[in-house]
Amino acid sequence: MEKQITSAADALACHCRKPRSAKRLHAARKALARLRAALEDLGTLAGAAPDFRERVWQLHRCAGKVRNADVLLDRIEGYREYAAQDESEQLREVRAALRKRRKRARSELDRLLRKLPELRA
Amino acid sequence: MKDAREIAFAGVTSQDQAIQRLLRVRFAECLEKQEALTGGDDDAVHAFRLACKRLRYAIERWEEAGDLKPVTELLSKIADELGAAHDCVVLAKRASECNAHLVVRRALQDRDRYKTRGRRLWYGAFNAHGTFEPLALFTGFHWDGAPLVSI
Repeated sequence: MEKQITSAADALACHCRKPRSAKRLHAARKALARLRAALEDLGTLAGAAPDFRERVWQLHRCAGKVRNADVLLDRIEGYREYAAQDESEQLREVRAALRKRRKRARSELDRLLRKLPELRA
Repeated sequence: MKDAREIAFAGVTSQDQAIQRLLRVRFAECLEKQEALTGGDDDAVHAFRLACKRLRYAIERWEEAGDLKPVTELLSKIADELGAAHDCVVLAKRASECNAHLVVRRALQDRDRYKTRGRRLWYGAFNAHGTFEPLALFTGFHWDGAPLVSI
């Protein structure tokens, strides 16, 4: 459990140093997913505090929203390569909507991370 | 990750027993949710994928799980395929909100392709001497080819 906590904290700190990096965000989300799974498996046995669990859940969810937007935007770019004009126009609209979502999700994640000042150091 | 079963460790007296119980519960979750692969419920497929990830993480956390490495590799591939299927479902929803019907159609076609690949990987592992055999034996499931029968 300690290993999972350290690993998630390190990955989040790394993300905070370069918050626009999709790669670092993905690494942070993966580390949070492993920590979350460890808490689900062994949290009761290890005596994990409910508010700690809740913070991990929230961070994982928020990081997931940003990650999903990153992934979908990549997929849109892939589709654009083989799209006819009609579809290209539609893809442009979807891309704009996804960018807005990503911006909101990034702000939400940033707000959450600000509540963890030790990670901003 | 939603729908994780609680693990009760009452009566467990050794680390090996604890690991066996944990993996049994997580494997059972996957078996319980596997029908999603042949149905039309995207949320159920997503829940199955998350169960596969929980099982993989549980195995990987256990350092002596060398014999089960092929299982984690397979679970990782299945999660990748079904993850891509889930991405397509979400993209179809977002595209639908923008009235982008051509994008919706393409995303749903891709979803079906990824889901089919994930399904093949999952069921293929239940062949005699398949990838899941050592996990089934370790967790106390009777291995008799597909479908698995609990003892």
